[in-house]
Amino acid sequence: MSLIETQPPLVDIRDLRVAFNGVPVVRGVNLQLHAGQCLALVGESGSGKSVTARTLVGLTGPRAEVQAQRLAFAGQDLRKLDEAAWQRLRGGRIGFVMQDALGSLDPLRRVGAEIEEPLFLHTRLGAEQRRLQVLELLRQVGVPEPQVRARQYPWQLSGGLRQRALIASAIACQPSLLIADEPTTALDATVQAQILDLLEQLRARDNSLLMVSHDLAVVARLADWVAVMRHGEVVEQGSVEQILQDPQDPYTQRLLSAARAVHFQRPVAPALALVDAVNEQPVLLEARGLSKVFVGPDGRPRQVLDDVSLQLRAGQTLGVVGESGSGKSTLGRILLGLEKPEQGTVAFAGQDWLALSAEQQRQTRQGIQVVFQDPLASFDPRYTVLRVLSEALARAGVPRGLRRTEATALLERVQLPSSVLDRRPLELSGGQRQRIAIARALAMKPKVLVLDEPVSALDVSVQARILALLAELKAELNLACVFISHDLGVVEQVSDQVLVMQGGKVVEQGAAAQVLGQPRHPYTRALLEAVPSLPEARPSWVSRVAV
Amino acid sequence: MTASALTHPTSIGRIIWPARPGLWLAWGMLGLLLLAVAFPNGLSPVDPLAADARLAYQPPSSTFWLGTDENGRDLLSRLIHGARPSLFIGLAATLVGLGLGTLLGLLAGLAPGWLDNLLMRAVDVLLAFPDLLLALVIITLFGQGTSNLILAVGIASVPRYARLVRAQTLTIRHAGFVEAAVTLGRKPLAVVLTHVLPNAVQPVLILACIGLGGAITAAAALSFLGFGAPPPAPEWGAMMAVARNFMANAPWLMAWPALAITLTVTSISVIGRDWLRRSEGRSV
Repeated sequence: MSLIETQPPLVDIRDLRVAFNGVPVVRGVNLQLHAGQCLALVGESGSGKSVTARTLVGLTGPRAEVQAQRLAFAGQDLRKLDEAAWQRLRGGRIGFVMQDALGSLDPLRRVGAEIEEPLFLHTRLGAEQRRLQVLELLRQVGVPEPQVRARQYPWQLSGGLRQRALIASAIACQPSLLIADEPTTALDATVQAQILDLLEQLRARDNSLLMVSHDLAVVARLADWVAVMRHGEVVEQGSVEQILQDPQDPYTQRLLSAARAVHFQRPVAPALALVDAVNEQPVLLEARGLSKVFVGPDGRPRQVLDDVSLQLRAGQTLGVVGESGSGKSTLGRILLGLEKPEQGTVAFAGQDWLALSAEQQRQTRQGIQVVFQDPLASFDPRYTVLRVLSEALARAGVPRGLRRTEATALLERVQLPSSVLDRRPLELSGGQRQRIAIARALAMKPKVLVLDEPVSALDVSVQARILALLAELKAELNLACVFISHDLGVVEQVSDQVLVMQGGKVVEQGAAAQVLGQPRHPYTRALLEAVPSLPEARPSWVSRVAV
Repeated sequence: MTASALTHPTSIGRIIWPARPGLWLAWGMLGLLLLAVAFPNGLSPVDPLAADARLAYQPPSSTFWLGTDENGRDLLSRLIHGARPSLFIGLAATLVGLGLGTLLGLLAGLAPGWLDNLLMRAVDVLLAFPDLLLALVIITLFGQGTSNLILAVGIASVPRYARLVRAQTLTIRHAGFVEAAVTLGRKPLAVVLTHVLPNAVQPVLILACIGLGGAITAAAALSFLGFGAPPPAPEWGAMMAVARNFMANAPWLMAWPALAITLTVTSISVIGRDWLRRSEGRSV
């Protein structure tokens, strides 16, 4: 450590302040990143971590007011750069990888052209050399068949390949610093693991890396140094071991315990007696042999569901796990009656739900309600919270005069103050919105609740609270839930039964502890292995003594 | 503190101008127009129909601010009285187009594929004709007159609204809140009326505001061609039609109504575009 610290840091930020329209977002941040190291900025949404990273490439936008006592990259004062100097820096000496690979790649340009651009701008290579370099870069980031891929468009690639292509374009000019802003957030667990492997390889080749992430587990694997941000300030920074094992700041401690709560821990396989006791409950929802085919954008049919059967018993939670495209959401929509399967039956409370006429279906819908992934999209943008809840209460037969009182009672149930009644969902936080979506579903007094990725869009600490709320409600109201998620940690925490899906097929099914504790199918095992691990907390005195 | 600013906050200590003078002028013009529509008699100096052959072709002067026409009628008064019919035709035509277009678009967006295709191909056929030509065809079919003029201009603008409403409907019918309402067990028609229609129409209203200018121009153009209000009535397009014959010796006859139409259309477009920018969340 001492050897590195005698050299001047590659990135030196002192008292960085950024404000948008006079509202401060970053308030006095101090950071240093030494060459060859990986610094991670961790924090929840709105903590100012992305803005901090963006000031290093001068991309904070025209409305940002940036001030700093020192803002230096490789000894160069960034405060005095003009636009031309910024352009030489970006893509040349600093590479930037953004979260949304589809959004960051031009849909009208081939992937190869995208990667070639920084080479064209920052090097003197000829066209043929550039072309060879592009192929070499694609090979470096682990894209199979580079010749083919370079000629494809971003939308023809999978999420993981797109992210790789984006990284290839960022490292094209061998930058001294690579900034990765939430590089794996939008990806499935197995793909995320691959991208993290790639970043690790890049780091091993002496690249300096600045990672921005909300996920402590992702960071734990790569970072040497971690800075935890909250409300635009760095509340704590230290080596990764120090932060993970002996956090000092109460916020870091909370973030860490929330991450551990929703973090996957392999359960111990249960005794068989327990499984049998659970099976005494009556079956509420049963699906048999569901098949569904969609016609893709290329006109070819795609089997989204292939002979899927499931059983949901009263008071139980069935976790449906799978990566994107595995058909788990379609399954949820069929259970809700929003989609019709080509084959198979769904029985709700002993009644063949799909054989009913549209009108009869409408009458029985109350018993099975839904909470979607994106809470904001599930509310009419013109509606206030009161109107949202009133719509449901009206359907539940509550007379007009009583709706406000009933809505307040519902809010209380999901632990929200009645003051949100007259606000619009847009003005609320993600967690509050999801609580309202749950409250709306509860208004119908349902027996079954289908939750489609209900916490995926939320920060870790908020996730933990929403899951706790769901557990409470489940116990209180004897709700049966179908819990659809790609996140094994979340599923493991809430589910009694688990169903693992791959490519529209059920590959494994059974008691949660059994499936996740002793997975039999290779795909389940691959899923489990892909989850980034958070080192266990040691008792704090151990590390103190060690120091 | 040696902190230095990277970007300087702008416009501190300068005279504060209205953010966009053009927008203020547009609102001012619209205000004047609305006054003219509401109280034409209070504003205009004399009767717009009072003809006096001795006063014909007076150039603008202190008595007749904008001059007189071939029958010695005061042009200012005629312009003020002309605001009501001109604006009314434009507004009514837009409403006709908006109403029919929304209905068609909503139907196409919600209908099964074959009906959607049928409706949209019909709309494509309408779209293939230039607006004005289409309006002319309709007038030739149904005959002249103010109400037919309104219908013609209105129908000519249907395709634009129908296309946009259909596109909106297609997105909204799969939106989370619509599916949530379906899962609550609301009737399909209720879902369409309470959720789909209001959300689909919102952006179209902005387009309609911008389209209003176009409708006024189209109506004036048709009046100019002689398909609108009959001669003595003060209507801007009709005034221009008559003025055409006297362009050489009394050019102001043509200039004033042309200026009135231009300013009206520009003001309405400016306001509509400002509304559009605001709704898109862009800074003004």
